[in-house]
Parts: sequence; structure tokens; C-alpha cells
Amino acid sequence: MPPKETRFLIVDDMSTMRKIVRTILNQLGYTNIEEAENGKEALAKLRAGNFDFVLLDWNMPEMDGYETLKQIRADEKLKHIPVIMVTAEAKKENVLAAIQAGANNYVVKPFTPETLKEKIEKVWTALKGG
Amino acid sequence: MAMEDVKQLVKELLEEVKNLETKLDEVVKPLEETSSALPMASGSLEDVIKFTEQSVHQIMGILNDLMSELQEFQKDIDFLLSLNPIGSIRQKLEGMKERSQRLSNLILQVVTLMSFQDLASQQIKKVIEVLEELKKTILKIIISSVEVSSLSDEQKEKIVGKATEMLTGDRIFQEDVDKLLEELGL
Repeated sequence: MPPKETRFLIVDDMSTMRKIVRTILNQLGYTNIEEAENGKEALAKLRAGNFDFVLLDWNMPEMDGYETLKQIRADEKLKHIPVIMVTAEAKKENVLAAIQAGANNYVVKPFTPETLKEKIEKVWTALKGG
Repeated sequence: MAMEDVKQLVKELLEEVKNLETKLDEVVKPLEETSSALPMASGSLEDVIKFTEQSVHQIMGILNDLMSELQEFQKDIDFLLSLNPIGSIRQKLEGMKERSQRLSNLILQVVTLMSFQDLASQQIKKVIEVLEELKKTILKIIISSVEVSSLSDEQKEKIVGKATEMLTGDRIFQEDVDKLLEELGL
């Protein structure tokens, strides 16, 4: 698992989902967590701070998760940050599109705390060449 | 034609007019109800999202407090275990630690299940979008019927202008619909 000081950004327009993900991360021992309500806010926060992990929803106002992901991957300073899509969009084409756009993994809502933990661990292990 | 025949004809005509009025009432009533119910439906659905969100957040707050209490409880157990208690007490403490961990996991599962609010809200938002489209369609029908009506040009312009204003706006509010219905004499 990533070290406890890892800085997470949760991007979701629904406050309930942001609280759920935050609670799960807290239980996993992570406290360095910030939130954004849409893609625009997320990009601004990512550009302003040193984040290590992004948990990104798909359907959001202003800028959706897919567009946000493309912009993260197109930005020299941000493109290395691992992104896990956390979304209710369970269609095969969405998963493919997200992976092609550079998502490191994909979690379908509703999910269990174990699923989120496994995905974070998987992405982290892959990045560390494990 | 005899007077009796004329009387019969007038009687039949009056009955037909009466029937027509009843039929018109049958059509106008649901139209009126739909016009006023649709904006209310969107508002009610938005309230559902708001209220469930508030309640879910309250429940999550309580669950988070419970998890924090359990964490403190686990810390106390760890402290007692660090004092190297005798075998039977150690066994009890380890059992308590295991049970409190299991409780924490169950609470976390309940917190995660609260995602139903997010998923249900997303579906409700889609229904609201459909309702908004439906309202716009009804307004378009109103505009078309006003254009072919016998109203004066000034009245037509006023009503069509108001309806167009509502159509181009982001949302259609009950007040606007009521004003338009008033203009139409409904």
C-alpha cells in the first residue's frame, strides 16, 4: 500500500460519495486528503499542490471525469499522478475509453472498502514495478 | 319544417353543445393538472435528493463517531496488552480487540452502503432532466396553439414572448407557468 503520508484528491460532485471515500481512506490510515466537486476544481487543486493519487468520478458538472483525466495526462506536471476512476459508468466502452485515456484502474460504484483498497494497492504495486 | 321539428333540432343541438363542453372539460382538466404538477414534480424530486443527502450525512457522522470511539477502545486494549497481563486476561483482551476490529469493519461497510444515496440521486437527476424536457415540449405546444388562436396580435406576442423566455431559460419555475396559464385564461 502507498505510504501513510500519501496525498489523495477525491473528485466527485456528490458530497456523500466524497465522504464515503474519505472515510475508507481514513480507515486505511490516510489523513492527507483533499476534495474537489468537478474536473475544473480538481485541475486547479492538482496544479496548486503536490498530490500523489487521484480518485476520479466520471459524471460531473462543469468538467466530467473523462475530460479531466485527458487533461491530467496532457499536462507535463500532472501526467505521472496515478488516477483511479470511481464511477457508476459500468459500460465496457467507458472502461476502455478511460483506460485508453490513461486511467490506472477503474472502480464501479457501488463498491466495497476492500475493492477500493485492492485497486489502490494494485496501482501502487504496478507503479513501483512490483 | 314544422315548429315541433325545429324544437327537436334545437334540443339536439343543445345536447351536442353540452356533450362538447363535457368533452372539453375532460381534456382541459388533465392539461391544467399536468401544467401545474410538472414543475412541482421536479421540485419535489430535488427535495428528495436534498433530504436524503442531509439524512445520510447525519447517519455517516454518527458512524464516524462510532468508528473513532472504537479506535480509542482499541488503543486502550493495546495499552493493556503492552503491560504483559497474565494468560487468561491476555486472551480476553485479544478477543476484545478482535471483536472491536470486526465491529469497525461492519461500520465501514454500512458507511459504504450509504452510496445508495449518490446512485439514487443520479437516477433522480436523469428523471428531472426528462421532466424539464417535457415541460419545454408542453410550452412549445402552447406557443403553436397560441399562434393559430383568435387572440389579438398583442396578446399573442405577449404570451409567445413569455413562453419563449421560459423555454430559453435553464429552468422553468411554477410562478412562470402560472403567469402563462393566467395569460391563456386557464
